[in-house]
Order: sequence, then structure tokens, then C-alpha cells
Amino acid sequence: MNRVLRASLVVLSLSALPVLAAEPSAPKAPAKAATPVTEPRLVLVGPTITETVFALGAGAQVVGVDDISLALPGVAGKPRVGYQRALSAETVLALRPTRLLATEEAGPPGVLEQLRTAGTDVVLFPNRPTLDEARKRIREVASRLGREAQGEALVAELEKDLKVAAERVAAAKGRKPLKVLAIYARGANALMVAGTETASDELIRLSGGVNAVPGFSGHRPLTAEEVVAAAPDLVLIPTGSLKAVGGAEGLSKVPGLAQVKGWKVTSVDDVNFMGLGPRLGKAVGHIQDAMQLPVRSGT
Amino acid sequence: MSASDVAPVHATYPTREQSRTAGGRPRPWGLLTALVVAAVLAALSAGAVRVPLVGLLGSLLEALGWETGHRLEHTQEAVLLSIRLPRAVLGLLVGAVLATTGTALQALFRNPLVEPGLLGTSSGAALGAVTAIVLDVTLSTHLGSYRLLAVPGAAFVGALGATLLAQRLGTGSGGRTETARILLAGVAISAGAGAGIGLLMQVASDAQLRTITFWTWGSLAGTSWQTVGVAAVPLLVALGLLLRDARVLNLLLLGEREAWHLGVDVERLKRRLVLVAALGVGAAVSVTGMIGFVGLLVPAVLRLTLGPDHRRLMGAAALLGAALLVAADTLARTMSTSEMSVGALTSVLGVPVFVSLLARRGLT
Repeated sequence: MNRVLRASLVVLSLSALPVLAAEPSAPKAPAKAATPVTEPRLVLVGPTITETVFALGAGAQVVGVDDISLALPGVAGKPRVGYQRALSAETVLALRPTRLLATEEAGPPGVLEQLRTAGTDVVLFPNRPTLDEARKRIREVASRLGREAQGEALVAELEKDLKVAAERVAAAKGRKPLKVLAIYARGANALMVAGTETASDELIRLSGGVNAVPGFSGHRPLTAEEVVAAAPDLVLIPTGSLKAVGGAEGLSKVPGLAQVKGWKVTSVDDVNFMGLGPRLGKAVGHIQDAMQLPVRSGT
Repeated sequence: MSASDVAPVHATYPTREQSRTAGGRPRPWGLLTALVVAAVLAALSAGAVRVPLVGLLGSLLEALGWETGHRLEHTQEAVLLSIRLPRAVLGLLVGAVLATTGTALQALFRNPLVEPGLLGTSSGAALGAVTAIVLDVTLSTHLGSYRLLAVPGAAFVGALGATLLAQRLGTGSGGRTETARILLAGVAISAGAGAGIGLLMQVASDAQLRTITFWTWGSLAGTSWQTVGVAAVPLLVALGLLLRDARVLNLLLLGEREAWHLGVDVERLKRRLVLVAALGVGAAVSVTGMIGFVGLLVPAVLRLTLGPDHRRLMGAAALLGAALLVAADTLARTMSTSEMSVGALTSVLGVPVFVSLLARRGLT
């Protein structure tokens, strides 16, 4: 096969000869200056991966991130490689990465294959929204970067946050758990609600609440009557989406929510809706604050 | 009612034009070949990764056993050989097939508005692909490593199925294939497939929805030599068969009855052309998704400049279609950091051209 490729290259390049003659003189510096680089150059695809890598303190090695990751704190300024499902092989390769760390959303598959062929180490991590997967992902990303110690520290911090959260849930045992409706906006008037098997569902569970719409898995368009029937106590929404719908006031005019009285709204970082990253414990604590769960002393 | 009685846009092909052959019209081959070569060169040299021509030449000479100081780095070589080259090859094939199919179908239906999509081929492919995308999880447990072929495979089956159905519905009581009926059937099948896609999108997950969106707009991103290897055979077969029928298409323009009197087995020709169109467009759509307008625009432009002789028209359509798609794909690849969909691009570029042709009343 390689011989065929080379042969076709020969044919095509011969046809390029006239163009070559017209070219003044190609600059030749970069090809020679390339010395073996010891530090891996990372391209990250998927906000949970990006959040983890930066939390592990490896942000300096990152040479590119996907568009959604760019919104994470501390990531701004890194070159972008486009939307995670529509990556372009050449845009990634132009950053000369040695390794691509991505969640399984990354694609299309053919482009990942092209990156492998070009010598990039492509590592895919599952992104199922469960706590176990989140722990495992942190450890695996850490070991890929040779930062096992930092990974363990990150997991320990997460466990500590979750322990506090569990204690708060236990302390509020007599109370009826709050019904939480998780919403995100896919466009101005396209609100989606999160059912089971979503990152927000796991956050709600860890916070000690119950998902107000547990009847389906994944995300579905919001239907007004369903919301009225669910009668949520708390609306959980990504910060970006809350801005898009015009804040709490805009949200209270959304059909369905307008008819339910007495709910409150709390927003978490957009990334928490797309997967469970190392800071999910903090998000859980934030949701519990909104639920007004008791805080144990000494934490 | 036979199709020859209907003769949709008979005035489109004035008989005066028929007698006017090669003389007086521009000879297209040199210019078109130059366009194809230029498009391929641009496709190989443009992109986010810089591939210096000196290095390219150096690697080339080294492959021939000639040491020079310059050669390509591994990444550059990989970009050239496993990203740009297969994309260019697939672009050439798909562009050529879409344009020649459009030309042949317009001759068959004697209507300049016909394009492959009108037979239900594209929407059938889309329905197949969307079904495979939505069933992905279920399919993956059964298919294992063949999972990557599930979407293109289902698209191909959908394309063939829809076209066969259109042809079946287009067969009149006497066993005659009636072109107007095929078109009607194609329109109905497209609507049905569209509805099916709409229903499937209701049950699709968010991730699947996005995959569907990207698929329906067509792209050559992710083309590998494996893709080219799988698609090349049906594409080349379709292209060869279409080009072979160029002379007969001229006779068909006179009218079905007249062509029959001139010794053309019109019935077999019609059936064959529809099947070949399904084969070629099905193969194209299944590996690239839907790429609009090439099959409509290229024949229209060429018929204006070259006249109605299909012996020149078909070959010219293959070359212009190939050049057009490779050029559009190069744009799609280089315009922004993400991949643009080449299907959206061909439509965006094609519509103004088509509308301006219409405005000058050049098309009919």
C-alpha cells in the first residue's frame, strides 16, 4: 500500500513541478529547527477532560482545546480546534500535538483515525455521567500525564467534598427532598430538560434532591404541561443558559414554569451539564446551598 | 399516458441545436483538465499544516533513490498522504459521478431541473443513515468492528431501495417505464423518507441529533484510503457506464419513440440509467453525506456553454464536477478551524450561480 501511495505522490508531484518553478523560494527554517520535544504537547477535546488536565496542573502543556472547553476558567487564550464532533484533522495537526486527550464525543471517527495515522497518540475516555466514571477518569488522565500523585490528591479532594455533601444530606433527613428540574438552553426558545442518565441527574442525586422529571433518560425538549405536573421546587440551569433566557425573571415567564409557583433557581457552570469533572463536589455543595441544606460545623 | 406524450420541457432542446455539432463550440478538454489539475494541486498544498514544496520534491526524489537535503517531516508526509490525497481522490470521484448522473438524468427525463435527489435516492440514503445512527448502540453490539460501516452501509441500502421503489412505481400498466411517474414517485418517496427522518429525530438523543445534522449536510472530512477503497468500485463502475451511454442519450433527446425507431432499446436504457444513478449516487452519498447542487449546476452551466451534444457534455460534466467538488472541499477544509460541510458550501456557492442563470433566462 505504501508503495502505491508513494507512486501516486510521485505522479501528483510531477504535475506540481511548474508551480514549484513559479514559487520564489520557500522558507526552509522550520523543518530543520525541529528538535525532539520531551514535553508532550496536548490537545484536549471535551470540557471534562480539559477541566481535569488543568486541575492536575498540566495546563502549560496544552496547545489546543475544543470550542466548549474554551469557556472554562483559566483556559481562555489557548488555540481552538473547533467543535468537538466536527474536528478537522489539519487544524489539530497544525498545532503539532503529540497526544490528543478526548471524551468519546470527539469525532468524526475518520478524523481521529487520520490523527492516529499522522502519529498523534489519540486517547479516548468514556464520558458516562456517573460518579464512579468521574473518579476513574481523573485517575486515568493523571496516569496518562504521569501525574498520579496530583490525580490522587484531586480524587481525595473530590471525596472530601462529597463526604461533606453526604453529611448535609444526612443532617436534613427529616425533610422532604426537593424536586429539582435541570434545564439547559439549546437556543433562545429551545429549552431542554435533563432526565436520568445525565450529568445533572447525578448532581441532583448527590445533592440529596430528586429529579423532577425522572421518566426518561437523556435530554428532551421542555413541555409546559410536563413542568406543571412535575411542580419543581428548584430549577438547575447552566450559567450561560440562564443569561440566554434573561435571568431568573426571563425563566419565570417560560410557559410551564410561569404556571408553577414557589420555585427557586440556581445556576452552575455550563461544564457541569456536559459531564462530571473533578469539581463536581463543589457544584453539589453549591446546589445544596440553594436547597438550604444545613451546613455541619467544622467544614 | 406515455412519457413521450408528456414531453415535459420539449422546447428546452430545440432541434436546431441537434444538428449543430462540434463546429463553432469551444473545445472544452484542455481548459477542464487544467481546472481539475489546478483544483488537485490547490487541495494538496492548502491547509492548516504547511507542506513546503521543496520538501515535497525532496521526499519524492528520495523515494526514487535520490538524496537531497530536503524532505518532509513525518507529520507533513502523513497529512499529505493520508489526509489530503484520499480526500482529493474521493472528491474527484464523487464530483464526477454526481455531475454525470445529473446530466444523464436530465437527458433521460428531458427536463433541466432533474437532479439525483428527485428520484428519492438522496432521501432514501438519508433515511438509511439516520436509522443506523439512531440504532447505533443496538447495532454496535451485533456488528463489533464493522460498526464504522453501519452508517454508510445503511445509507447505500436506503438509496438503492428508494430508487428501486421509485422505478417500480414508475412502471405503467403495460410494463413500460414512464418517466413522469418515476419523478412523481420520487417526490412521494422523498417526502416519506423526510417524515421518517423527522420521526426518528424525535427519539434520537442529543448526541445523535448532532451527528444527523452533520451527516445531512455532507462532508469529506474523515476520508481515509479505506473509504476510498470501498467507494471507488461502485463509483467507477457507475461513471464508466454513464460515459458509455453518452451517444444513446443524444438519441433519447429526440423523443422516446424516435429513439426506439433509431434502434435504441429505450425501456432497457431507462431502467439501466436509473439503476446506475442509484448505484453511483448511493455510493457517493453513503460515504460523504448529502452534497447538493453539483448534479444540477454542472449540467446546466455546461449545456449553456457546450450545447446539447452528450458525447462532449458527459465527459465535460465528469471533469467539471470533479474540479468543482475538490475545490469546494479545499475551501471547506481551510475556511475555518472546524470542518465546514462541503454540501452546505456547494449549495451556498451554487444557488447564486443558478439564480443568475435563471434571471438571464439562460437555462431553458
